[in-house]
Amino acid sequence: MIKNIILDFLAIVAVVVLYTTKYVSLPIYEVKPDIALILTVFIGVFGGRYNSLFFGFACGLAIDFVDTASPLGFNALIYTIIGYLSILPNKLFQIESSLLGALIILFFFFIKSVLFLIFGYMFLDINYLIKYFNSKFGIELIYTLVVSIIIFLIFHKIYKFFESSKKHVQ
Amino acid sequence: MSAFAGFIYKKKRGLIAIILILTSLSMVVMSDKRGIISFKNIGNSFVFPFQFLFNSLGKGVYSTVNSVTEINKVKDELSLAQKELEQYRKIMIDFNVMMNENKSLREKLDLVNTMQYESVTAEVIGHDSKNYFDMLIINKGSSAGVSENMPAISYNNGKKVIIGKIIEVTPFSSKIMTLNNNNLHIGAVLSKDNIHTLVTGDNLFYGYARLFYLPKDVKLNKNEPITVYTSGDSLFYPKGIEIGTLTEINESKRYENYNEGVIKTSVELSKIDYVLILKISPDQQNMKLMENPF
Repeated sequence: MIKNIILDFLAIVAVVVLYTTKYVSLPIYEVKPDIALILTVFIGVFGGRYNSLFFGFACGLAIDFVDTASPLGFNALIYTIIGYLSILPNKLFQIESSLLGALIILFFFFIKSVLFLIFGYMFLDINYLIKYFNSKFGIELIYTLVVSIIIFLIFHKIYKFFESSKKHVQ
Repeated sequence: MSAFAGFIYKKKRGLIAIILILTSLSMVVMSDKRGIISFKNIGNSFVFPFQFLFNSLGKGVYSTVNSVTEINKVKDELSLAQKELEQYRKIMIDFNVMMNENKSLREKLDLVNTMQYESVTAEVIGHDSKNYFDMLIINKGSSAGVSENMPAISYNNGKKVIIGKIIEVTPFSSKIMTLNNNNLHIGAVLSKDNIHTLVTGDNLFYGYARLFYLPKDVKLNKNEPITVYTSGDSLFYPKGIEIGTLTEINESKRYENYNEGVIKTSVELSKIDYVLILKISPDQQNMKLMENPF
């Protein structure tokens, strides 16, 4: 339990650092991959029933604290919903290949975009939304998919390692 | 009662999700600057994604059809641009000759380029998380003598160009509000006829800023580009630092007697690694005068 909390906390710190730090975030045309989305979804896919829910909420809230464009709670709301939905793929497929992982990210990226549009229309500046979808959406989608393949492989390795260590203990 | 407890236990995950979603939603509503949530707004927000999707699709089809007819136009413009480029190349050669001449004359006169103000060099270590170039985070703070409202500048082709001003200072880092932020206002002067105007940052178009209070008689001339400099009118920015080049003049929607302009900013925010903070603090007398002019 404590190990999970520490790992989640470190992941959130990593996300915040990636969101704000210049050389670490590797932006392409001002756009960074949506690491928070990737981690929330993969934690839902590989982790427990509640992990992705709490991680999505905490991670979104952490982003809200450093983000000047959105009101507090905006990202928390979106990533909590993503976290809730992220256990669905595990019920439907046996996720073993990184390509399937990327397809799941693609699906959740579109869900996030619809949520972003709905809540963004209510709470954000409309010019900001238009600017995002005109100039950043496509690049962010591709960049996120590419990064998700790498993160999937890391997650898969860690998950396998934990599985085998569990079997050893039993 | 036990059936209710059983229901709660069964739907535990859904209930936690609902609690977290409601917590986030209430936080957003409480911290939302607009603070307006109406049923109309909620309804519109569910229609908006579909409107946006169909509008984008329509726009895509329209621009694809249009682009075919535009190709000929682009061809003509390309040949014109190539001719202009050739002219500019010739001008560049003349310019380089003059630069070298100027340099050697300066050396002869033993002139040293000195900055009028004390300055501190800082490295850019971060950006705003969403509006990437609206804010820059630098690695110098109050411990290095940096304080709020100090101007940040850079060098571009040997010229001093404005970046923005310090808006937040911590002991070891500071935030710069850049020309990409529409809350930044700078008193400006045009190279042509010494006309005083106001420059405002623009976060919709990267690399551009807006110019207000432009007299109606100012016209653009391709052969004589108009450069915009800081006017020194404000207490924070020294006079004569380049802001950009006037590229477009439009009719003002707000003021009958003035036009509005678009400036291509001289600073390339995406390429900046280091900035120079000018240690200017407006003296107290001037600040009092600004607060109470009568």
